[in-house]
Amino acid sequence: MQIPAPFDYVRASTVDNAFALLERHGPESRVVAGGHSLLPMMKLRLARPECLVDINDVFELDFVLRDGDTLRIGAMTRHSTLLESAEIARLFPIVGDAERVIADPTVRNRGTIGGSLCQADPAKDLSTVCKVLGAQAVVRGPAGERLLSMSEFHRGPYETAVAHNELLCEVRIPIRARSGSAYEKVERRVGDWAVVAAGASVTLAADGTIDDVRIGLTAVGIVGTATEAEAVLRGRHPGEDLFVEAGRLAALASDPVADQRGPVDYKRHLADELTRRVLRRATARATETQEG
Amino acid sequence: MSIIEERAANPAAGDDDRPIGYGRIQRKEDPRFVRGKGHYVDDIVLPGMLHGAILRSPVAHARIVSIDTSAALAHPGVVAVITGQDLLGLKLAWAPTLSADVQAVLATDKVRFQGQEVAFVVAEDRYAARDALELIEVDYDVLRPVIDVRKALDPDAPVIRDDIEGRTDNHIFDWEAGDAAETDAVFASADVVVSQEMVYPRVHPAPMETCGAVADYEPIEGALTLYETSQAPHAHRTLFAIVSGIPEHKIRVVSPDIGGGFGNKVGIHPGYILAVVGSIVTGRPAGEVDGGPVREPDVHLVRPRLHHAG
Amino acid sequence: MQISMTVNGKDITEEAEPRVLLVHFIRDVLRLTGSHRGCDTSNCGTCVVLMDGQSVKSCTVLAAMADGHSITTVEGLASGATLDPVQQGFMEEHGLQCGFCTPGMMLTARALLDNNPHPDEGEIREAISGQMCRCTGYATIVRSVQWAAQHPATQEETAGEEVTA
Repeated sequence: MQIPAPFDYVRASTVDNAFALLERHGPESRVVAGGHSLLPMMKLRLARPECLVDINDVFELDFVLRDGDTLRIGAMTRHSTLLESAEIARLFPIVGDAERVIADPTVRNRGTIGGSLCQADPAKDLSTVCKVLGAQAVVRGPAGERLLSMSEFHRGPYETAVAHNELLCEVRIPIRARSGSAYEKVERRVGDWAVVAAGASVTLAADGTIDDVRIGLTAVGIVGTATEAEAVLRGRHPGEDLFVEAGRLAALASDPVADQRGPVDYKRHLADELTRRVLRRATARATETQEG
Repeated sequence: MSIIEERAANPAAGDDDRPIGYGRIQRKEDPRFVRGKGHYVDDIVLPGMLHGAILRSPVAHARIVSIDTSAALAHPGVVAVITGQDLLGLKLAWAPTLSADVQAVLATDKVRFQGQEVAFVVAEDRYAARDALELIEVDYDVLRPVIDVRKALDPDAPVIRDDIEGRTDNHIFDWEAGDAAETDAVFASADVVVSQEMVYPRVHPAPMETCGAVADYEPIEGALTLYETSQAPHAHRTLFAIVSGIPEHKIRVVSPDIGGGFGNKVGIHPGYILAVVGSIVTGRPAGEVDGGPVREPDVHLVRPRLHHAG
Repeated sequence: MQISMTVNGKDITEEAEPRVLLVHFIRDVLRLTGSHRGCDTSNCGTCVVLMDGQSVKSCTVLAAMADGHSITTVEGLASGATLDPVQQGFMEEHGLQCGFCTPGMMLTARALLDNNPHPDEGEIREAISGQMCRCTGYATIVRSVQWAAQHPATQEETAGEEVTA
């Protein structure tokens, strides 16, 4: 029987109101968005906030909009909205790839991109997606706004740069021409956490060489992206031999731990194979964009 | 007033060419179930009913040095906190199992698997019962566990079932079927014999409805009504009579709608007995709905052999 | 705290602790026991209800978070003696046996058909992928939803929408 320990509950109406409420209820208060990461932890009593500040009514944080060369996604945007957005599907197909394998449709009706990133679980698919896309986190507090890269935002497992009196308000993703992206995950059953997952974003130069590439891996202990694998790809013409080499380097850089989801050698094998697959798919998509 | 669907007459009726079971038959329980009018154990509310919560062992093998229940008892809404020692006094600490063994209702001397029942809180509502669980202080003297069936018979393996007199190892049972000599002869004449160790993982039926019980002991008549997720209410009644000393004719076991069983609800889980104990101790109906304990995986050692023809 | 919401079209206000889970609020406070409690961990889907028309796992939503919202439970599917086509479909196509997962399955099916009146088999399976059934093997649940999709009432609704559009 899972029941959270007692806490107070308040609802924020605006971002500024949320700051005021966090201030008033002190360091043991916590923001709750969709609640599908925090509430399970509270039901297990692994998290015991004294007060929850519910930001589900902060509608100003629920948006997907294009602003020049940037796509801006509000922190309260639900997984289901991300999956339904035609603009996101066109610009960043990796998001749809990942969203389709995050939990299940009913959970996706509640969970949000902001909540997912703030939970900072190393097995979260969206953390890898944001890293691969070079996203920036917009963190706001009473003192003003900070723009953080994902590596600055995620400080470690379950730890972010967001201070107690701050809010992750928005995720900004740069839109780049001739780019494609992809995500692939191996899971034991529908909706489970990744055994291993990989994501890639590829930008092609006018001559068809790889101008820029990012490779992210989920749940294999890589901090940041797989930089060695990325380095062999840059400036070269994409091809199977190159992807095989990148897969090998990504697997080499992985540092997975054996657990109920599988032994180390299996996870390393997945890191290799999935890296190749997402590179193939991301490149094909970048080529299509180029042609289209 | 209940609403009953208009149904077409059963085409099987009175027709020799269409025997019973022919064609489509509507199930009688569906009209209730599709309206959310099922009646499962967790739906039962009796006047004055209390709620139970079970404290389970976080370790697989440990001697219980002491259990302090005072803070839990002082928690608002808590009516009783029951331990294995309390059950010893009531002669309810151990219950028979379906495989001619005994199981602890609550651990008395030591815990023998992770998740074993250690204490039972009875409270006015389930939130208070859950809160009180973390106020119970158990001092465990942790012992070496047996976590691999293949190592369970090693000479230096710790003996788990030291509650059974004379038991010096973990050899729990023997089971034989068929004709060993004849089988050996067949395999001796085989062209190829393949030996393989097959790991058969823990298999536990997991119906969508977890196990639960609501017990209502009426002290004046000495009669017990027990609502439980049971696939074998009659066998349970007999066993409850043996365990509790209440004569069988004064025990009524009710199996309401069951949210799936698949064999998991044939046996008697300690939680069922704890609901009964809770009701006897407090004089009020007591309910408990919880998942079952987690046990070790089984390993079956088998030797499948191929017999070449010709 | 005081919690108000619309449940099956009826406005209710009850007192409950902030930590009370929506599934407990519905079952224990409102005594609508058709929504079930299974795994407690937002995996099994027996607790699914509709919140503003969308399926949610009520074991992982606080009653306080549902304050001011509209909730539909299995008890609100039928209108009087007339069953929702989804309820009829589950009876016609043997979409249930023990009945424990059935309310959540039917509510997800209702939300699906409201958004997509002509789902293919893949879309139905995807919609119910957050819910478990141990009895049916899912094939009959899929057929039940298909039966409901083909029901004249569902078809009429769609026709009406097309005219409006």
